[in-house]
Amino acid sequence: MRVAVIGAGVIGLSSALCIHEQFHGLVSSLELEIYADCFTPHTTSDGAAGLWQPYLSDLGNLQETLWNKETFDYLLGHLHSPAAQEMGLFLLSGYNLFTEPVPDPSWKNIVLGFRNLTPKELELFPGYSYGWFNTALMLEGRSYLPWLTNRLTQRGVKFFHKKVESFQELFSQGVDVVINCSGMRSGELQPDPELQPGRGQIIKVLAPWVKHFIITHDVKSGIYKSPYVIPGSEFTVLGGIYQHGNWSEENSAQDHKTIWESCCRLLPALQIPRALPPG
Amino acid sequence: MALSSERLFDSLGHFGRCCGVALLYHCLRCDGQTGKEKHTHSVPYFKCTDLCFNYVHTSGLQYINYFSKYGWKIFNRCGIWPYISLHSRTVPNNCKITCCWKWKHDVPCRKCGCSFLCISEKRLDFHATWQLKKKGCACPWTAGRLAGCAENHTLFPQLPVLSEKVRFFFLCLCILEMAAPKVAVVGAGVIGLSTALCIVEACPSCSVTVLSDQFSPNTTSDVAAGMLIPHTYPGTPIHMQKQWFKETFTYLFAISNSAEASEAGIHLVSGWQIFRSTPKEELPFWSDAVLGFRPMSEAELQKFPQYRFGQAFTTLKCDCPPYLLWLEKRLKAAGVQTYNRKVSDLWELHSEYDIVVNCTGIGAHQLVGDKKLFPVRGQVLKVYAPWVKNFIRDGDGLTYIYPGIHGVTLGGTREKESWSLSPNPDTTKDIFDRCCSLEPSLREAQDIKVKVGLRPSRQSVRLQREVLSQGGVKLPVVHNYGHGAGGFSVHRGTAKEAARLVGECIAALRGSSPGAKL
Repeated sequence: MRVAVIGAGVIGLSSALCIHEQFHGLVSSLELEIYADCFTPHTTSDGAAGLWQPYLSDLGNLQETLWNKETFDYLLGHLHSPAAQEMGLFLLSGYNLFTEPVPDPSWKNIVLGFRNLTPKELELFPGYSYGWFNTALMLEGRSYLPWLTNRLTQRGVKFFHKKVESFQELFSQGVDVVINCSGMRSGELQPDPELQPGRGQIIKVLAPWVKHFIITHDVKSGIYKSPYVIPGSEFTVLGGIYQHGNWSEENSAQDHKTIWESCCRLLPALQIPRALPPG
Repeated sequence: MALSSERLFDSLGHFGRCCGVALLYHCLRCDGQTGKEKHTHSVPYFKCTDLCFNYVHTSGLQYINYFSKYGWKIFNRCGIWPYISLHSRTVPNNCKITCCWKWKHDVPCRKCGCSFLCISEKRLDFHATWQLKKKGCACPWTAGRLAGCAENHTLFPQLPVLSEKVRFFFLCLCILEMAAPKVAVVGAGVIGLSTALCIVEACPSCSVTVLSDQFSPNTTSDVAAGMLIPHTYPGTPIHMQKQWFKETFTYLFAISNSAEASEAGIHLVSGWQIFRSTPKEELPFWSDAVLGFRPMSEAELQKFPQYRFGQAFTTLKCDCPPYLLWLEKRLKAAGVQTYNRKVSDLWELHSEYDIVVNCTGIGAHQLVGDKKLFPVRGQVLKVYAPWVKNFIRDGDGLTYIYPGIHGVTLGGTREKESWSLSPNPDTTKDIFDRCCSLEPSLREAQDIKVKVGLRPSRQSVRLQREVLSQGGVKLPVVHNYGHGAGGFSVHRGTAKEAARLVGECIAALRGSSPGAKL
């Protein structure tokens, strides 16, 4: 049986791994193939900071909350394994900041140690009057994707560097099942008006004294349009751009300025390091 | 307090050397009694430790003789003593002259901050009247003109009618008003440097010098992780420890939230303190001083299966060397000099300094013979593991993981009475294993370095005044040592208290000088 996964970002690779883990014993001669025109470190997943945190509200979609929980628990279980560091997996505590009280998120019992911020903690963030503190997980794409790739390669999964133009193309080659994990460009394989790019731009800096994530929220303007700081294992990611419908993959000088100024206001200590060149 | 002639000469600065000065000190040896023409000592004048003043009977002729021996020129055209400009640091603070205070002025030149103090006294108005020339002095009171030799000196209207005595008094008064205590801080660890900084902040006119045989990165402080988690001193009242900790926390919190944070090495870090069995005291005295203190949830404790109870909180960490280097920079900006010097006996400083502050940490065992002070040897590893962002501390204080800016500190040991500074390889392996059992990902840590420090431990921190005396000469000392495992946690609080004690010493010195007779 030939199963083809389209896409080699975190979704494609982890789907492939789950399929292989679950079915290779059950299905005789299972052949798993991964097709993508883009591999790590050039996928969308590589651009993400890697913080496990869903949107603030699941909007009643309980299935999503279950998926989130399963993911978190799976990763938490791997935290003490020897592979954790290779996977790019580690615990990270931090702050979510608001200008007004908000209801607790759907994931409050999934993360560790969820609580509201004390007045003294809020002193650190002038302009914000409410917030949460919790310990979550970081899963860095540039480590996790290679780790997944290695696991898959060990299991005999084959990789093809190729842009798939249609599902039919694969079926005509003899593929039995296609798993479409093509992310942003799924619309090219099957139109989906609900799928829109949410363009993000970030700045990576060297700021090793930052040990917490800080995500600010502006409920009026929407998610990720407000500054955020996420320390990785090597670099700290500064962000705060989310442009619905914008397909441009070029760096915008205006966005760079917005991110830098708003993050420096949030964390004055950032003003010392110079940002790495964008890209 | 007295001066050697070399220092006296240096202290006069450019101006003094041009114009010649009369520097008059009350002779401590003869109490000003010998006066008149000559003044004999068993040792030659300017080599003796005491300087004497004499009455000026013959318009300074005798002085001319004395001074000119040393290359000074007295400007004596007007038959009056010239206006003097002195380096504020050279004047001892325990001279006093009883006389009419009519000429008293009370503002030494701090206006321009220049090292020449300009006399400001409306009636005498040196600045306006004298056409003085000197390059480089930015003093706005002299409008950039100072010193100069033998040129365009206008007579001071008042002075010709003044008697010698009065003139004399006036000059001495100027010296007295300019007096600024000289304070030596011995020790350049976190305690020494922060104490020196507190002293200059509390007493800007003080002249503070730091003396130590070790500076960062070779102090005990450099080995420490610098976590703000207090150690309890059995002999110090809890309310005092709490106040010291709160003061330190508040001070560092403000810096961590400023643009200087990364340079100073100060940052917030969250984590857990875990216990194998529930401790007697679930709420330590500092729980409301740190941020977000609360017991750990069941889910959090699952990460540590052998532990029953835990506390989660956010606190501050001072990374060394950055913090010590930042303190040194602030001290230099405040005019504090630091010298690499081994002090073998505090008394050896009595001739150069008015007050000594003893921040020698474990060195106090030898320096002041404090047998109540004992080392508690700590070995730590500093490793590269930048994915570790939370601290983990076993409540027994022996095993801990503290993530810093450039490395993670893994510890440790608490070996009482061990003086060895050499790393022990078996201990290294033991520390590494204990830490990996709490945080398995540490197995991938790189670049492992081993360090050893001797915590200067004591039942209570020695923070008190003492007066050393030998042969009628006194030396006030302020002790600030014995912080053991809790130095960083209380350093600012104890430094402020030590600065306050230094202030008490200064007040005592000013209140108790011998009277002079003219």
